[in-house]
Amino acid sequence: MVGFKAAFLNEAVKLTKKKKLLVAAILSTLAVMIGQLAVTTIKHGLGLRVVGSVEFPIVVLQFFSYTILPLFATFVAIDMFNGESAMNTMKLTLLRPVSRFGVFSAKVLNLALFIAGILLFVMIISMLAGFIFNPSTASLSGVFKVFASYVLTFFPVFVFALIVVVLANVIQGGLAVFFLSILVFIAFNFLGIVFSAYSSFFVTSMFDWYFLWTSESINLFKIMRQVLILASCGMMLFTTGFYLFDRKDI
Amino acid sequence: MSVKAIEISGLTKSFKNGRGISELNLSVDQGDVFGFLGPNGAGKTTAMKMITGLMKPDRGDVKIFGVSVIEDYVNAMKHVGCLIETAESYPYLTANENLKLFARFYPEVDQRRIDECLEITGMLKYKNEKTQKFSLGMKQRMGIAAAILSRPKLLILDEPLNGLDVEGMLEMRKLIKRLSQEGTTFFISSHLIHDVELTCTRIGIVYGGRLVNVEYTDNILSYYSSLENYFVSEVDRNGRV
Repeated sequence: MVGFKAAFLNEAVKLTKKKKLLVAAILSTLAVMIGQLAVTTIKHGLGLRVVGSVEFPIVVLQFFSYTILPLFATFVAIDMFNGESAMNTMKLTLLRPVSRFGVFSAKVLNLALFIAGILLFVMIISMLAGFIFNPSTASLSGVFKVFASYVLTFFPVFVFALIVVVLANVIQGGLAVFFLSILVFIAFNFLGIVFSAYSSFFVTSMFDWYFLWTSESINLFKIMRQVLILASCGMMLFTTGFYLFDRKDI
Repeated sequence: MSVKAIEISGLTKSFKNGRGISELNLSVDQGDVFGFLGPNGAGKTTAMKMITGLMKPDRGDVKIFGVSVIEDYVNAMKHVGCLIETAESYPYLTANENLKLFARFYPEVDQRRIDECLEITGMLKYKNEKTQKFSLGMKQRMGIAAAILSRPKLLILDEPLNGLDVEGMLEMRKLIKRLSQEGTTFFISSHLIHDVELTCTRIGIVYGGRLVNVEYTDNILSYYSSLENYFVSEVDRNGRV
């Protein structure tokens, strides 16, 4: 446990000391600001109300969950595995009294925290922007919907990040993993549209699954199916990733 | 009979290019300063990587203070400090921050010990500098500071003198002597045969992936004028022209 705790804290320190976190925060803020600017311009220019205060964070989430979030999750996952291997710093952790499972779990947990942290950050600033520019449309149920949507987005994005982790442990080069991850992302989106009956198996099509939970009529069977698919994909990808990481010669 | 510091049995690893390590059997007693010698590509680093768990062997086992590296890695590595292949550090962190990361794995290591290690290796004045700007020698000193941080009972050092200036080499030699007098066991590989002769109490020679001989330095020097002559003779005897 001492080893896991140390590895977890060290991964967190490494993550915060790198510029990726700052860049992700700046880009997220910019995306929210540009979105709010567009909404305000349309409202004042054309007299149309595009979104209310609690709808704005959902619009931001729709854009954010398909662009900046998976992109930065991919960057961080590649950095944690391929980046450390390329810089020869992976051994610095592995030579300490900690199991490979401890190191792998610490990395994956930090990746999860990164995704959750960025989502929380975007949720807060988009809600603030929504409340500042459209205070009249605020409601408690709307806030709850926003919160639920952001929390639910975490799961499919995390499972996608686990796909990147698996790729990072199969392929040595970080650049190759990055392009392959983008290809997988595009292919999953495309296949999700073409084979819509099987879209639940392409995890990227679940990035907006919060609509299932927050819509007027809730389809419990479909939600249950999606939850089980996500959970099983997550477990399989985590196990595969660890198996590959454990077998790796440094 | 005391527990061996390192006990290697039947360690085998083969690569696609045909090189590797074959049936390595070796034991290092507690308190030994063991020199692991061999020409380039003989398999020294591969053996060291398997001893420290960075590489998985095809066959065989390594026990450190009686604990198998393969079966119980965490306990096997509890009292081990390592410097394998190259001295690395996180370039975006300062020397102090780097050592702080490593210190988290050892509850007994505090800031005072970190400063002490930086002092021992002559790096205290660069404590707050990022390591990306360090020279090869400075990185090597950092690697040594990281290896001795937890006051390990066993130090596994792969080319510890790499990149060090003359002063650094003398200091390193003194440090090995001092720590070995305090009871630390060493397992060292080095190309600098003169330094090995001056510091190591036992020598093992690996050639072509096989351990060809293990002998005490005193015995070697009673038959040969220098360790270099012994090394050349052993390598020649085992097929090198």
